[in-house]
Amino acid sequence: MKIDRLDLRILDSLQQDARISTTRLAEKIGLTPRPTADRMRRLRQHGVLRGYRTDIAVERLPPLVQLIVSVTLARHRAEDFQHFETNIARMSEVAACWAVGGDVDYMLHLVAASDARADAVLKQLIGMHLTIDHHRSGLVARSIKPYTGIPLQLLIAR
Amino acid sequence: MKLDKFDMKILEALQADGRMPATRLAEHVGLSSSPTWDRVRRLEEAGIVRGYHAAVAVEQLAPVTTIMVQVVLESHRARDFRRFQQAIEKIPQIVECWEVSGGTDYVMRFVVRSIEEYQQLIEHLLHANLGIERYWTYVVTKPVKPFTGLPLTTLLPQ
Repeated sequence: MKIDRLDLRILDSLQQDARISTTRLAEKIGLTPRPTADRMRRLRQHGVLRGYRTDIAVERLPPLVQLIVSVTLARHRAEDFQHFETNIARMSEVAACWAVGGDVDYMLHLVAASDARADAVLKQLIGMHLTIDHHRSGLVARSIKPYTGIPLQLLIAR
Repeated sequence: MKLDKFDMKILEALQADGRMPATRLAEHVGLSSSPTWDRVRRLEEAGIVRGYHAAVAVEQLAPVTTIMVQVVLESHRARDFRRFQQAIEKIPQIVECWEVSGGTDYVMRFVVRSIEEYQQLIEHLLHANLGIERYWTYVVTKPVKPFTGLPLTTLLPQ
C-alpha cells in the first residue's frame, strides 16, 4: 500500500493517542472529518493500522510479576524451534517473545499473577529442553519507557 | 487501587479495542455511560491505564530492524539510573525500556532502519558518559509472539 504524508501523520497521531476524536484528528492534519475517516478506514483495511492498544501498567497491579527471560534451546534442529514456538504461543503468561541472533535464541517477556505462578511458568519452560541464561534474565522493576509506538517519521523515508 | 469486575471488563474491552466508543464500552460492561466513563478516568488517574496507541504494521511501509539490547551500568546510585533514563528518553528509536534486577540493569527494544543506524545510536550512548559498563546486542530475527495485550483473565482472577 502506498501512503502519503497525511496518512503518516494520521498514523502518528493515533499512535500518540488512539482515542482522539475524528474531528480533532482532522483539524490536526488539516483535513475535514470525512476524508480523515476514509483514510483511517483504508489504513485499517490494508492492515497498516492493525488496531488500537490500551497500555496497562503491570507495575500498578500488584502482585503481578514481570520477567524478561533469555533462553537457549538444547538443540537447534528446525523441529526444536518449531516445538518451542508452538508451546509458547499457547502459554498465556508469555506476553511477548522474540527470536534473536547472538548467544541466546529467544527473549521472552513473562507476566504472571504471583511469584509462585512465575516460578511455575519458568519450570514449565525448563521442561522444554532449554537453558535459561540467568545472567541475562531479570525481574522487571518497572517500565521506564513504556511502548507507545514507533518513530514513523524517522523510519519511513519520504 | 482495588479493581472490581466492572474495572476488569473495562480493561479487557479497551485492550481489545482502545478506540471503542464510550457508548459501546458502557454496553459491554453493563453499566450506563457516565459511571463507565468515571471508572475509565479513575483507571487513568491511578496510572493503570497509561494510554491508548494505534498499532502500526511498520514492516508493511518500510524495512525495519528490531534489536533487543541489555545494559549493565558501572555504578548503581540513584543519579546513575536517572542519567541513563534521561538519555534514552530522548532517543525515539528506543521504543521500549524496562528496568530489571538480576544480571542486567536495563532491557531496551530498538526499532531502526538499519544495523548502521543502531550502531550510531549505541556509540552515541557510549560516548555520552552514562556509565555503561557492558551491553549486549540481540538482533531480532523473528517476532515470534508480538505483544498484543496482557492475559487479564489469567492474571487478575476476580
